[in-house]
Amino acid sequence: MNEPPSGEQELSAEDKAIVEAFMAKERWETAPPESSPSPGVSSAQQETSSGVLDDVRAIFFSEVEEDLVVMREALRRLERGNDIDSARLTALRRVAHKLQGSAGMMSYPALAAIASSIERIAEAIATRKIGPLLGVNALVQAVFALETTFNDLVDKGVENDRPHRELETYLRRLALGLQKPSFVRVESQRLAQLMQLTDHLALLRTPVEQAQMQMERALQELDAAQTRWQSLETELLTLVSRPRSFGFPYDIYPTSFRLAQLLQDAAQQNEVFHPRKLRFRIRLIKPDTEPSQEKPETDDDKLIRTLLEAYANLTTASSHVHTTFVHFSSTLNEYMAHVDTVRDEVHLLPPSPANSK
Amino acid sequence: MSSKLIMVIDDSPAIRKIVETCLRREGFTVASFADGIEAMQFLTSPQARVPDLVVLDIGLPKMDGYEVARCLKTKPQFNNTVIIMLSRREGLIDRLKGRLAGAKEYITKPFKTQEFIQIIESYLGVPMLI
Repeated sequence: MNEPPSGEQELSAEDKAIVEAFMAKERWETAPPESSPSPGVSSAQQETSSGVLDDVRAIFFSEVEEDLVVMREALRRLERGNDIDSARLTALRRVAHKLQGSAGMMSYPALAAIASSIERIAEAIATRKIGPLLGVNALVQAVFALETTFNDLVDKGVENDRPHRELETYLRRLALGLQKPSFVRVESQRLAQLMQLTDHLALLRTPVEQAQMQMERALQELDAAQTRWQSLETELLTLVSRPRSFGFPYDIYPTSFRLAQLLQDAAQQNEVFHPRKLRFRIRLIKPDTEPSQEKPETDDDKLIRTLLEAYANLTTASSHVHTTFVHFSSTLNEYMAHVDTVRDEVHLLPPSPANSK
Repeated sequence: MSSKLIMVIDDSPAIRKIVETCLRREGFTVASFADGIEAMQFLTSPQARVPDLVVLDIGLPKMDGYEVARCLKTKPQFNNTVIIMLSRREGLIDRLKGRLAGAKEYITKPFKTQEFIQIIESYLGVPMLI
């Protein structure tokens, strides 16, 4: 809650002239005036302590009476008008704020609390937290409680807390947004719709989890293919860098048993069975017993072919990752769109007080 | 030695009376006003002198306490004038706004007059009663 607004718009032409005169003034007295000071000024010698409390109380009572006149007038205009007059509300808030401070200083807690309620109700109306009709009715009740408490105080000399307690009960019953209500009323149709949406949201969780798992598997496959690629690359580079007379005594034969094994493992693990590879596998199984009728592959051919196959495995795994990512992304987007819908629906629920008709 | 002058600006007559009374009892000279315009009108009068301290309510009509403080502090003659804000609110923002407007202290209502006097005297010293 902020301080009640006040500002330049309230300054009359005379007020503005006073401000300008003050701003234009350059010289002030440095010594205290010889003569008697202005009416607002007095010193300790002029003041006696007798009856000060009575004086202060009398001033306070007079102040409250004046404040009540202002409040009644503001209420009368608010009740009469079709629209809420913000100037009237501001006047009410300011008077209530002032009274809250002075009643607190005078140690009248019930008056201070009622004044605080008036200020909060006026602010709730001004900020449209409560409707004008409900708000003005609440203000009427609050001002009535203030008058009753004040009259009791003047008559009996003691503050009666009952009007304040009754006002608090009334305000709680209205749940005017002055405090957050414990319960709110919502349309059953909207609630049913919201529950349906949340059920659907729960159902959407399974596809998201499945898509996530598929993507994890695809990533593992890619990882395996990359490892295989690196392993083959090392092996092949070693073979290539070795002098041919030591590692490959028979150039007409396809390859070493080690290389054959490596490629075969690669083919099996990656399940790549295209015709060319199948032929290659068969040849590898029996390299020495059935010399090829075709032109024998050189080591260079074999090296290129092996690298191409490993690369094909990588491409396949990468493509699989891409596909599963697209699927996961689409499923997740659908899920998130549904989350947004649910959130919007929740925000659209009208938080009307539980006990309002 | 002249008595220290304190200006009290508050729209509540009861609070003005309470503050005036306790300050005068301590020996200060007090000038009190219902709003900032009244205070400025007094300050433009020929016999006016610069107050040593201003007790300034924030929720004032016409101009709020921050605006009044800013107006006073634009004048170099008021550089040494201590401004003490009075408010019912105890918010950090209000305190900060008060500081930015030139206030030295911020007192929340309701306050105990003894504590109030202690704060005033921490700035102006204890007056010598004649």
